[in-house]
Amino acid sequence: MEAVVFVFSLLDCCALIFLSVYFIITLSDLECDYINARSCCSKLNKWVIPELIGHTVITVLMLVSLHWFIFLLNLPAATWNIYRFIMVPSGNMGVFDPTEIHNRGQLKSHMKEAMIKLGFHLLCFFMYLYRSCSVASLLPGSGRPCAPHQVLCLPSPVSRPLPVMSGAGCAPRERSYRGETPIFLRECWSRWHWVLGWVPA
Amino acid sequence: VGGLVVGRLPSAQVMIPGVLGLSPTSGCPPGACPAQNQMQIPSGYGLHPQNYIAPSGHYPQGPGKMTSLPLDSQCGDYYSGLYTVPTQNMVTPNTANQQPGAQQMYGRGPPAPHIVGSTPGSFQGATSSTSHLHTSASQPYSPFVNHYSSPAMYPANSSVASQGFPSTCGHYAMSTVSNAAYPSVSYPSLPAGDPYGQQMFTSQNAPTVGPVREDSFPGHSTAISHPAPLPPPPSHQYHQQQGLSGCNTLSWSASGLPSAQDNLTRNHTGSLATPNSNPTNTDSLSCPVMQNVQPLKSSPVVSTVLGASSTRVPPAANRPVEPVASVTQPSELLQQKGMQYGDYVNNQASSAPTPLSSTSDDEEEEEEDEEAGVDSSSTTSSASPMPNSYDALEGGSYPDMLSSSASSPAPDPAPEPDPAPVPAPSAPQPSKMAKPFGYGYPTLQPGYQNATAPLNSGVPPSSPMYSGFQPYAQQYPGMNQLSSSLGGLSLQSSPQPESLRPVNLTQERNILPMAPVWPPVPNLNLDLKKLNCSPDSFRCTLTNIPQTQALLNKAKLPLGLLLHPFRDLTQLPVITSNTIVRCRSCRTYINPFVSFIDQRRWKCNLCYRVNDVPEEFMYNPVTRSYGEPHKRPEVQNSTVEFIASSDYMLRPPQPAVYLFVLDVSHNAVEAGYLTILCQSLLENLDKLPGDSRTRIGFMTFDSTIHFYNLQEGLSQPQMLIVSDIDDVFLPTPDSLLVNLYESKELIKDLLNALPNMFTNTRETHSALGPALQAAFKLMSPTGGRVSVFQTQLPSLGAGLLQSREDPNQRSSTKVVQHLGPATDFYKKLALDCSGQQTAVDLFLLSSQYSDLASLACMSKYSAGCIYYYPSFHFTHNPSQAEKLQKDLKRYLTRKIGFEAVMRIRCTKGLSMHTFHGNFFVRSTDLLSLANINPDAGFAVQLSIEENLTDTSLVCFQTALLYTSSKGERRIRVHTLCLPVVSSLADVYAGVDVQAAICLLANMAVDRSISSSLSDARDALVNAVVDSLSAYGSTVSNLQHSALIAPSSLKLFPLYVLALLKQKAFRTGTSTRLDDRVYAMCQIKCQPLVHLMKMIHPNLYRIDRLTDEGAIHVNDRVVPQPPLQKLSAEKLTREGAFLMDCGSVFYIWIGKSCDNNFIEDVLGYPNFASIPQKMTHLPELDTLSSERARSFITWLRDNRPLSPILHVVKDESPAKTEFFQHLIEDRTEAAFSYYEFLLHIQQQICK
Repeated sequence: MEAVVFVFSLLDCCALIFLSVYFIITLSDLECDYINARSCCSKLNKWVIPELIGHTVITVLMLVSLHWFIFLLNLPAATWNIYRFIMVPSGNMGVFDPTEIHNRGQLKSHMKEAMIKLGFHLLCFFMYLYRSCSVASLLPGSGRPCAPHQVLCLPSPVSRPLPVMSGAGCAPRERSYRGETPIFLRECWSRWHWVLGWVPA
Repeated sequence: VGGLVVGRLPSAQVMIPGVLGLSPTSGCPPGACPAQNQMQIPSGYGLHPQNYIAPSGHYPQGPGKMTSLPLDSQCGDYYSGLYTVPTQNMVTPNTANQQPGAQQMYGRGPPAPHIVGSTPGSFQGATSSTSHLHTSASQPYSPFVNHYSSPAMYPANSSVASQGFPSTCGHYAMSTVSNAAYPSVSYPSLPAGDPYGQQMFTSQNAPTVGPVREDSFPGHSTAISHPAPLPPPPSHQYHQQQGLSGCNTLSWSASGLPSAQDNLTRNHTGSLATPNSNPTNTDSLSCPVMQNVQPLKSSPVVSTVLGASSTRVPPAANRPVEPVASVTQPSELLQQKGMQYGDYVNNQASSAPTPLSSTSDDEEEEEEDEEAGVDSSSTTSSASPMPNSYDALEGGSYPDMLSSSASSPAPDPAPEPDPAPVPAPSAPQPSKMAKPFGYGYPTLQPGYQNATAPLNSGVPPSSPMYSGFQPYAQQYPGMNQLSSSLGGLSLQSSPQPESLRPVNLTQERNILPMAPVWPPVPNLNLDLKKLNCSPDSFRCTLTNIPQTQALLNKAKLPLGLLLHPFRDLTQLPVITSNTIVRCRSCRTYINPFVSFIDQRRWKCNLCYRVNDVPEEFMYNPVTRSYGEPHKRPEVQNSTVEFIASSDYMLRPPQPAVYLFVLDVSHNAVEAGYLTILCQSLLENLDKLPGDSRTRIGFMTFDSTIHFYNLQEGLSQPQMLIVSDIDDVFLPTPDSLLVNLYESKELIKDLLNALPNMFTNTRETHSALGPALQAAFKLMSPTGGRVSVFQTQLPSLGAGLLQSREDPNQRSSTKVVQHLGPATDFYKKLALDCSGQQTAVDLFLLSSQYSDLASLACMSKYSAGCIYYYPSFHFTHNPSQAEKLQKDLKRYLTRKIGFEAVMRIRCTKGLSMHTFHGNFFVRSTDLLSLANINPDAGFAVQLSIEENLTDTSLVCFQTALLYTSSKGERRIRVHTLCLPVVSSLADVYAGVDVQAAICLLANMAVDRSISSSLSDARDALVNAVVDSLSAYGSTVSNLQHSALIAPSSLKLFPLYVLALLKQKAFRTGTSTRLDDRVYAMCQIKCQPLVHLMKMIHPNLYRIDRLTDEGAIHVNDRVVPQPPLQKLSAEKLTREGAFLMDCGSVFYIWIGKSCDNNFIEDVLGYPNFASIPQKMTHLPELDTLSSERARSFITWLRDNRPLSPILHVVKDESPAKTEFFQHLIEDRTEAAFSYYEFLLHIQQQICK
């Protein structure tokens, strides 16, 4: 169940990352004058609601699956998305309004927002990745509750029987383990793992 | 689903289209109708206009080639070199003005306003010298104006012009003629050196080293100063006014095309059009008469032109005339010649070493030289080869030249053919003289160098950037001096400029000056000042640009530009040339503020890239001399208009297309606007701007949409009704927009019938949205102008609106809601229209709430304009009816530009971030304007992104590319140059308070829509508080308890208070939502002059008008009463006062007003007999009546909305209207001026 939640979040997050990148590319196109404001805004407005839904779904999912920390992490961003959507004046054509996007530095602030979102989603992405991998890695285990240090103390993930997991998803972690990760980094990892892996009893 | 079949038009067959089959019953099958065929659009015509501006746009303002720092200092130097040039050129327009039939009606060069305007703002310290300068500047006018009026010569001009290429299309002829004006002017400046040197001495020296100048050239200055007394400021207005009236008579050709040319073009295009229409003639059974007529009409004209062309004047000797020299004394002349020679020598001497600046460019230059002719700017492969147009230009010039040489009072006794061969004997003296004054740059043209700084004590170069220049710097130390004095640093020399005089606001009782406030003149050197753009077209809130954003933030003043780019100009240089010279990297048009590095290269003043001067540009058609690129009209005028080549179009220039969409619901018929509209249209049908391709169409709507088939050949207009408003379609797409000239009879029939067609209608609904959609469909193939007349809230179909206003909230002090649009329908529609080059103009004539906030969007984003007539009724409210009538006259006949784009560029380091006005911002600095009209103003906010430390001048350039109503693609370019300052005091010294207020008003409108009204009000108050406290902190020695403002900002609090009491922003006073929104719309799109009147009306006392200080306009004496402050304390019961609020005039008559006045001016025996509603002053044959009327007429002229006059008796209920404009007084809801000051003081002390 846990794995399903995180794998789903992972995929959702991927989509959100792609969406953010798309936003950034389109906005910078506008900045560089490759497309005009009208088409830029109509392109972007199409994706505002999917983005909003995608993010809300993750947030709700985390709430339902009682991952408090991740839920709280997502909450402000999701709230902002919804707020932004609701607060669009009735006369505007959407969150991105072609008549205003060049005014008052709106383009820049949209750009900044898209950047921040990209960073946030990337962070979340690795978080979900880590969680899904760690959860998955524990699946074939004895069913003991997952202890952070155990995961870390594993000699090498390669030697472990890897469960059927999306290879792409595991790849980064594999690398980080196989390579000689410096001690302090591992320590960091362990801390993080503890935070992320904390499941309320 | 099908439509109703209802024939409403008397005896007109009516076609009721079902959803599809739409063939009109009459004999003209769609497609076979001549008009349509003729207008059939070429295949590429309907291209998506998105990339339409490709030629002009898409050039990122990349960093130019900042080759080396010395370049900059040189840049400064060269500026001076260039700018000293043209006293004479100012005259150009004047001579042009004398042309019969030319539009350039008044004799006032562009810099005149500067000259005049600068007087009040000039620094006390330098008053005497500046007045010298002014006179020297204005002096050349007089001889020219007087002596160039030899009208007989001009017809010859045009004919000569056309001789060269009779087969080319009309605009060549036109341009030649307009160019013909130049020669006469520029000849004087041909003898290269002299005028410059002379200019330079006065201008450069005056502020900095006054005494030196006095010593060395005493004779000089006297000689210069005496001829023409400094014109009094009002004369500026006089001229302007005169010009305007000229415009009016000429109606649609306001820009600069002589009317003779108009004819020519028309006929030309007409004849051009005939080949197209001929085939259709044979096809169409219906009347071909019109078309046959046209060639007939046109051919005689053409032939006469050709015939006349044989009268070409044989080329006269190239004898330059030198009016300035004629004023100066001979010895002076000699000296100057000598100097010039000296420069020349210097030039030769130093030409061996390559200038530093160019070394880095050398390689590139070589490459570029090869491509220069092709690539350096938009060179066209157009049909007319260059020599042709030059020929024409020259041809046009002879008569001018002759007349000038014949009539100029004292032509130079010894005209110099060329500066170079100056007799050797004079060499020694000049070289002595010149050394101090010339700082010759090696490869410069001799003429350049005379513009030099005075030699002071040779200040060693202080900044490292000069180091590379050492040899020159040592040789001509004046250079450093120059570059420092260039940046408008004369501030430092005058101890305390007037604009910085601290004013204690709370102590100063009469803060408002007696005379109208003049825009401050940028603190540039005189030559730049003269070249600078007129403040009427282009103003900046800070005429001294702060060096850094930090400094700007410290000053707490808004930085922005106020533009009026398409203003009716009475003189405008129109340039035809194959090559429009532009910077290769930032695409800036060449302008007076670029620097010529040498003969072959110029440095862009916006991005600092060094560009090649194309070969063509080397030749100056005005002086007919080669190698003087700096004397081309482009470089001599900051406002020019280019005739653009086909590079600047994505499709053939569109014809003028007008569509009228009229509300004919019960409400509209009741209001009765149709009568007025149809009447105006009938009267002005021939004056609609356009050429022979002009098309016109009509639609009416209530709950259904009615189209009118006006296809030529029908016996009567045909009405087609579409009742399917959910899915609108065009019944006969081809015959709804018809050629104005071919179907004129039908159009007239329709206009005569229209007012009575709907008299008995019971339909109360209004399907505005669907009608607009239909209009969009109708217009989208061509683009053009849609005029929408609406009288109520749209209640059917797409875009229907609900009433949002709560009447009880009208005077609420808290929240004013619904300032923004309720739906995005109109916005989307406007953007669609804008994409198809269609502008929607809205006339809202409603008595109830009609949600202007939503409706206005259709005009806001399609670059239309908005007119609002609250409680319009043609009988009950005659003043509104009259206003509509006058507005319509102006609206229908004023100039119009189609498919326009405007790009604003500014010096690297500055950036624009917010635009205000009616348009759609298509990309970061490109405004898409489907239509541009002369009454549209714009505002831009600026920020400083990079420090401007390495430049002393910044420039702004707006380029407006449009299609004229004659189907020409034209580019109007304005360039403004401003100094950069580094101290806070200088920033304050250069505040243009009116521009700042207008920009603030625009920002406040944005704020109140995006946030809330109270936010906007707070922001306005904070603007005053911040700027005054920031100023207070810079002036440390003054007591802090007092409210101190620099003199330049002394009106700031008053104006802000006026804004707070303006309809748009006031709270507490009952204001209808639509009124408020309309006021906001006006703030957004009115040009500065009109907006200022709206914000702060002018009050005059008119019962004692005298001729004292009166000005003369068109042989009429216009009295100039002093301004009164807007306070009831100024009103006396014995007086009569006129308040000029921009769109409305009030005449307030005091209770015990002099009976003589009432009788003489109002035509009533006493106060009691004056009627309550009086909107006209009778034409009485008394002196005081004449004075009053001429004063009011004078005020009325030159404004887009013709103001209506209300005579308000002291006791009438209408007086509240009048009194609410007395903004210095306390009202129940708002501060008085004094209270407001105290409030500000409190805030500052907090």
